[in-house]
Amino acid sequence: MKFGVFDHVDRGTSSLAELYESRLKLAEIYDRSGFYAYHIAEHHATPLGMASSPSVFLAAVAQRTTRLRLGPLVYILSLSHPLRILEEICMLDQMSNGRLEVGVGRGVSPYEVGYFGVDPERSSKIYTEAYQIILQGLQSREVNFEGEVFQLKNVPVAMECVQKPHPRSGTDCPIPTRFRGPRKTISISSAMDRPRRYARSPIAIGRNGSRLSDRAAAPCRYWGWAVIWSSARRPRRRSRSGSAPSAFGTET
Amino acid sequence: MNAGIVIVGTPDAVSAGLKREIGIAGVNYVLTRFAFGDLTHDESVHSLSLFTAKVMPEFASRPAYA
Repeated sequence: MKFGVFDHVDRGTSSLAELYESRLKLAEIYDRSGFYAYHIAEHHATPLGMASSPSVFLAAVAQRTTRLRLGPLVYILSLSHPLRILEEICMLDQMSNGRLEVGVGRGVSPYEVGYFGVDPERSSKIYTEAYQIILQGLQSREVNFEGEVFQLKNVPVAMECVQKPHPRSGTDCPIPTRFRGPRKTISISSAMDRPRRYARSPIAIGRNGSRLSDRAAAPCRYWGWAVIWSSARRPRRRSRSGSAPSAFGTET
Repeated sequence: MNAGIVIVGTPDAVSAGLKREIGIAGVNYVLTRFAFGDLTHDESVHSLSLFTAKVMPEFASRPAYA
């Protein structure tokens, strides 16, 4: 059993400087206590999330820790240009000596993407194209892409990751377009549009902490809380794993 | 809490709750939260210390499939 930490870095009652310092000190404890990874949510314009740039926050975490893996959970692909995310992935993986654990999503809050002028109905399209661009950029020296949202021609990729061929999180798998759930087949977009129905938690960490030998399980890491939901519902598939939407506070 | 969405309490209660939820879900990776809302830093450190000392060892022998 592995344990990780998921954190919105929500506003709290202390000053912002104190908040960040407290979280960084806690990360040091996670690091030496055997937690697998520290996952950070990206939120905007809300007290729910003060780590609106997961990369900035995790860059600091990387300098305070030595073995803890770092997980943007998730990078909201509808709010940043994919080349920017690609470069930040390379930077963080290098600055942490290969400890990055990438998660991506379309941006589940219509309000938050709305503040940026992004039509929530279009975010799935942006997300799908951006993911393909990032995936391509992590594995080549040049990006070429012709999509509805993005058109990129001969864009040089000047950086690379420590983890080869790319950071963990299933980027070596083909992008699935449909998943077969326990009762019926659901499309990615429908699962994303109805998260309450298909998942208890928007956790993109997949069935494992990314060392699962079953490569077929890998797509879940990126695409997959819908799949996590379905696999978690499937009894006695012991080679599968997932993440649980649990929060803990203990008392004496 | 009855739904198992939040597990909170003494180390024994948290261990029992975790075992129950893990048994139902069949997962091998669990995300935790020790800092949220108006918890002070010291309170978070205290919870974390109890968890790592008394709860995590309970799950050390369980296979991680990883």
